[in-house]
Amino acid sequence: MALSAALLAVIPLIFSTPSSAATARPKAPKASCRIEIGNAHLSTHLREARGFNAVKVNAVSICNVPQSNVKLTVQIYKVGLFRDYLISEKYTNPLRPTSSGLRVENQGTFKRCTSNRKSSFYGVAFAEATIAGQKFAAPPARSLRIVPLDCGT
Amino acid sequence: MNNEVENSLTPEELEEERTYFQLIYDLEVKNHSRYETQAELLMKNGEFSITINNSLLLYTLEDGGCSFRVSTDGGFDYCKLGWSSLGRRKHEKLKRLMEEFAESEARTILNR
Repeated sequence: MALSAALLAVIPLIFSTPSSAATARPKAPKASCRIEIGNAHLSTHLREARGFNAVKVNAVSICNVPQSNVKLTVQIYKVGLFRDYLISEKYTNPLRPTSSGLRVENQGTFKRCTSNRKSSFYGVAFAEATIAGQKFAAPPARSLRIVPLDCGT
Repeated sequence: MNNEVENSLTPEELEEERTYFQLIYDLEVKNHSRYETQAELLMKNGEFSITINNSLLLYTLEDGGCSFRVSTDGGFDYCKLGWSSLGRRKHEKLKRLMEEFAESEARTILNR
């Protein structure tokens, strides 16, 4: 999936794997990881298959070294008058085979629209993963834009 | 508004997504009556569990929404997979819970 750079908030994370200066072992490669999160959008697939709209946010955790047991969380927020409201959050299952590898995706976070009332939405994504035997946490990445959609929830 | 992200999915990912949403729809139609009963039990007791495809699915009412957890070892360890807001009115809650049941069962069946 080649997500358009213009639509993404990208949080780069540089992880250094443990190494010892006293030993002559070759240096372990430096892990470079990031979370990419798209803007909130109306899912055309849901509309085609089901005949109703849903607001959806996709995210992906990308590393240059294998990551495992990735728990990639995607949250959808609706903008309110005094505060923003969390309306849905979904996590990848860290135990599933699809939660390991160089890319781990969360494409299952959506919330159905109950009306056509215009509302504004954005997504937040963060992750926990095991890289080279160590646990890491990636800080939250937010969608680049707050998007108004014809979707009351 | 902006479908660029969705449109950038590979054909395989698009097919997976269609399969997932279609299964949710099929489950909702097929299990409408069961989901209605489950939703009423969940609203009454605050918790409901069911075994689907050898996985134990646990639903709890939390923070004005419904959380969904899954266990593959008979209930010793649970992994939280989602939370969704439910709305204020009873009929809204019932409808949202029925949608949550279909979505969580589809995830379990497709191993997502």
